[in-house]
Amino acid sequence: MTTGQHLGTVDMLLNMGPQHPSTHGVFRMILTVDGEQIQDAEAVIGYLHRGTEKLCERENYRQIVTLFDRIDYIANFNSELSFVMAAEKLMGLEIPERAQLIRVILCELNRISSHMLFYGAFGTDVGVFGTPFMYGFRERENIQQLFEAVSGARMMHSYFRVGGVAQDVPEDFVPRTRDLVETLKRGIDQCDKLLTYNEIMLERTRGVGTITKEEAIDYGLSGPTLRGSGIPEDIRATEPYLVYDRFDFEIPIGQNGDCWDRFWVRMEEMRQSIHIIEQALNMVQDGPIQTPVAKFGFVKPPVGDVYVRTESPRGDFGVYLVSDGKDRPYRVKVRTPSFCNLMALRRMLEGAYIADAVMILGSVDIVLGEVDR
Amino acid sequence: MPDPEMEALLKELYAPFDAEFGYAVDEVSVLIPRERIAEACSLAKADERLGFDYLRCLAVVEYPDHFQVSYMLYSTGKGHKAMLKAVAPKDDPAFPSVTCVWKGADWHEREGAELFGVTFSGHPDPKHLLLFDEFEGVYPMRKDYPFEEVVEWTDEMSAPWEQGYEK
Repeated sequence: MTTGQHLGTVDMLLNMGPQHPSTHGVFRMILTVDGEQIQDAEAVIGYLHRGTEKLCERENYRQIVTLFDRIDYIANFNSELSFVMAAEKLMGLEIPERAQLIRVILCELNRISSHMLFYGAFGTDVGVFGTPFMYGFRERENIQQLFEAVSGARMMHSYFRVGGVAQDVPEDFVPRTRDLVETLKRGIDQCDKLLTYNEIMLERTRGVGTITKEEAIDYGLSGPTLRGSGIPEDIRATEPYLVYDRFDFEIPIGQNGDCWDRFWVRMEEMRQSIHIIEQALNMVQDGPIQTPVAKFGFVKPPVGDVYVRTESPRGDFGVYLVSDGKDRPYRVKVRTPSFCNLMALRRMLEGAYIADAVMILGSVDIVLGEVDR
Repeated sequence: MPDPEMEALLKELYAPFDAEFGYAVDEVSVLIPRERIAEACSLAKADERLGFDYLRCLAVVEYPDHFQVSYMLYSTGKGHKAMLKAVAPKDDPAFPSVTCVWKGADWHEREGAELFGVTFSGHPDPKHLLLFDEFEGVYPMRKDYPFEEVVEWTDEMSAPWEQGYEK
């Protein structure tokens, strides 16, 4: 005899956050639950809104680079890159090859360090407390030390300039990066062995938080979240910027668009980044690192508007820049990847269980600084 | 770097729309009358040769005498890109919503609406997104909204129970 079938159930509202240790920042989810199952999820964002776009209208182009560091504070180089490239495209500036290669190497290293943070956090979300975090942060620390040697800061580098980079890299940059790459290769393999095909990991993540190809495109997802659903869209390959058209690399794509696929895509991307860095290190030649405009800071793009996007670790990082010919922008709109990826969270959480909610959120790899700007 | 192929395609598609063509550096940008912008977007998505199934970005810009919304389109299969634009006067800043064309427009429109005070008619959930609810009738991204001045902290600004300490 079954009991309770004739009894109606009542949906319950459950608040997660904004002060929740596993929501990766100040982020609130209002879940409508039926027992353990999530019926609806509403994302509440804005707790970290600092008005960066408004501030950009007040500062000049060199100062804005520091603001962009603080948009995506896990992948600083990548978010700086989008802004400086937007200004360069509007001005029609050609960047010296050495500067382009330095940018590529630093951005790819930043991608690995960002994915390592994801790896640690996702491990914790899945339920492996401690070990993945330590493994991930061990690799991050090595990368962070190289960043400090290059730019003088572990985070918030303010290293890219409109027209190049701020100063030349240290003399031992190339050999040191080669050593780092060897260390990273071992580290990535170790991380991979620890988690990727672990039985518990597979059981928890396969078929959870699925999003189909069509939905992924409709929601405007990007980065590993889009590629996890099986769409080979990587701006480095489809719309090559900097010198990405010279490198040979693959775009890993998932099969089912579930949490495991998104995780696996990131693990493979780290290997591809290593591959790109190795090729770039072979191409680095001596030469100028900036055009004169970067040195003296006379950045005044002509009247017009431009939209530039680059592939940041979380996806498509776009900057829409409108200039009125003055030394500060008229309007800057930042299209951040996490902001758009988070829109699909409602769809991913539908029908999932409360126990998986944090993990599904973790698999999107959001940075609240760039969601709220 | 003009893109003549895309320009020709868009000119053909938007021939009955009374559209103006221009360039955002290397991207074709089409200014569409605002009443027909949602129609123009769904047409661009449905057209087989264009196939603009992906909304890269939606940005609101305030110009001295009008508001402008830019729609950055992209097609995932073909790699095409283009920009659509619509303008509205300052005293009636209303645009049709394109959330029915791309779900991804949802938060962009909510953000634009609260920061600039434009309305997207037909939006399914026109609530505040980034700002808190008390931010009603004030639009921080408008040019007339002042930057906060740096103010010296005085004792009167402290809570009543903290006033009078450390003097």
